Amino acid sequence: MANNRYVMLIDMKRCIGCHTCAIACKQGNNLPNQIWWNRVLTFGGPTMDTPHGAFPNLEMNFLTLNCQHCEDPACVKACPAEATYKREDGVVMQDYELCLGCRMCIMACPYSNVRSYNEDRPEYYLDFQVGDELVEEQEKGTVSKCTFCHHRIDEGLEPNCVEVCPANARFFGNIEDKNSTVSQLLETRKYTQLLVDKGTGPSVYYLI
Amino acid sequence: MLFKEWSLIVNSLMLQLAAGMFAFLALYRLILTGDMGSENVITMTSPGIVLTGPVVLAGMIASIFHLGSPIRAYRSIVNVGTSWLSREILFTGAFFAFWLACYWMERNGNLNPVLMWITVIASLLAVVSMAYIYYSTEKPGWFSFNTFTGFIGTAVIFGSVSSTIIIFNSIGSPDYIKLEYIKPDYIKSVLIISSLVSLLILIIRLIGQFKLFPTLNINKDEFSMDRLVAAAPLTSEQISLFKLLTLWGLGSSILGMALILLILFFGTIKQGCTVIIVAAILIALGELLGRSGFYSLGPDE
Repeated sequence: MANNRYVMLIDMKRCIGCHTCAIACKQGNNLPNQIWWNRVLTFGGPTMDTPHGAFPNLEMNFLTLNCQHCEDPACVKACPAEATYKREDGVVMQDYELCLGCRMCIMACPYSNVRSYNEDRPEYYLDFQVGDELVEEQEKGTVSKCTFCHHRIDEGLEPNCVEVCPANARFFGNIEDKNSTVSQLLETRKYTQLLVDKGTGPSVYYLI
Repeated sequence: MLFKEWSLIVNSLMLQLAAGMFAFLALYRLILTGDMGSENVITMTSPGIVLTGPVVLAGMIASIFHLGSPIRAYRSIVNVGTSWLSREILFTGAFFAFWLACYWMERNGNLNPVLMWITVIASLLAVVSMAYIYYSTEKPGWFSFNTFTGFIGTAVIFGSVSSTIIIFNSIGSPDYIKLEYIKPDYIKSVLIISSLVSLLILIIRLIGQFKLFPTLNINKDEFSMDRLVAAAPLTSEQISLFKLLTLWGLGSSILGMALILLILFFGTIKQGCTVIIVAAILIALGELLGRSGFYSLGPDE
């Protein structure tokens, strides 16, 4: 694991805004009602799923947003309880058993709404657990966020959102491995990252 | 909405009151002792020294209600290396511990000035750390110089007002006749300086807020990926509420401080006791409104 540094690539030219990644994330991680770790934003339009531009020259783009698993995460520095921590492979994790619910991580993170706070006891539409049985149970008064599906990548699998994407717009892999798909794509394609000027070094790349 | 972060409002105001009060009383002990004798100065300032600890404690207890999992509050000082919240809690704890030692020595009549100043330093570090908690976030309105003039300023303003009340009360009380070598004019001139400093802070704050207001409006619809994902912009309702609370708060505090200066310049100490209480209520209300405005910018989860 020491030589791995995981990154996620999202091909904005392929993304069709179907929200399958968001649903797969919610289901695979058994997220409570109202909690979303992965969201699909409409980029440019006034509201979700609306185009920008003037008729007939309309365009609709999507931007999927989850925790950016930064190289130098502001949340890890801000957390007073070391409940937010970074694994050696670059995945930023949240330990519910250590979390105080002070929400410093939410305040420190430059990205909006990538973390969720369980103000009340987590409630579910279904009365049985869905998703992977290895997923940690969420607690009242704690913060949660995308884990890059750590339970899956530890088994050599891809995160849920990557596996289900019908447009093959998402890629996940080890950037330290020069032969990996993510390394190859970053060498051959143009890409951008979000809020680079904040200096946190996000591990999510958007292919443009 | 208005007091949604009441625990943080109470915590921050209480800590700043305690820090300011203790620092001002320590300062007065230092500068008044030479002219009036240590016994008189101790008699005047002792009630404030005793009161500091319970105020800190009340603030610490209030802060626990902010936590989603209060039972784990003990872990909040684990990350002193990088977390301003951990540092704030560590310094607040040190402030309280040093105060306990001061209180014990004060009761025995031998409060060591060095310990008093160590306590002042711990309290100021706690207030500065608290300001940095918000300054180091991405929240519009918090990542601003105004956060420092707000937090440190409140400590100075509360310190000045509370120490004025404590000194006026001790001089105006029946114990007054027991005090020797009291120099009301000299005391008044010292209090005037501290009140003028507080007024200056309020004016700096007012200017700072008027500079901040136009920067709070971020156009979320602007065609930019970064703008779309940047830390949640404020809603127009949030901005309006913030402006309203900030301006009413500043107005109330400035009015209260002007009233104190009026009495210090033109009134007698005995007249002043009642008026200063009214002024203190105005200032407390002003700071409460201002702080509520500050926290109304906080994240909606």
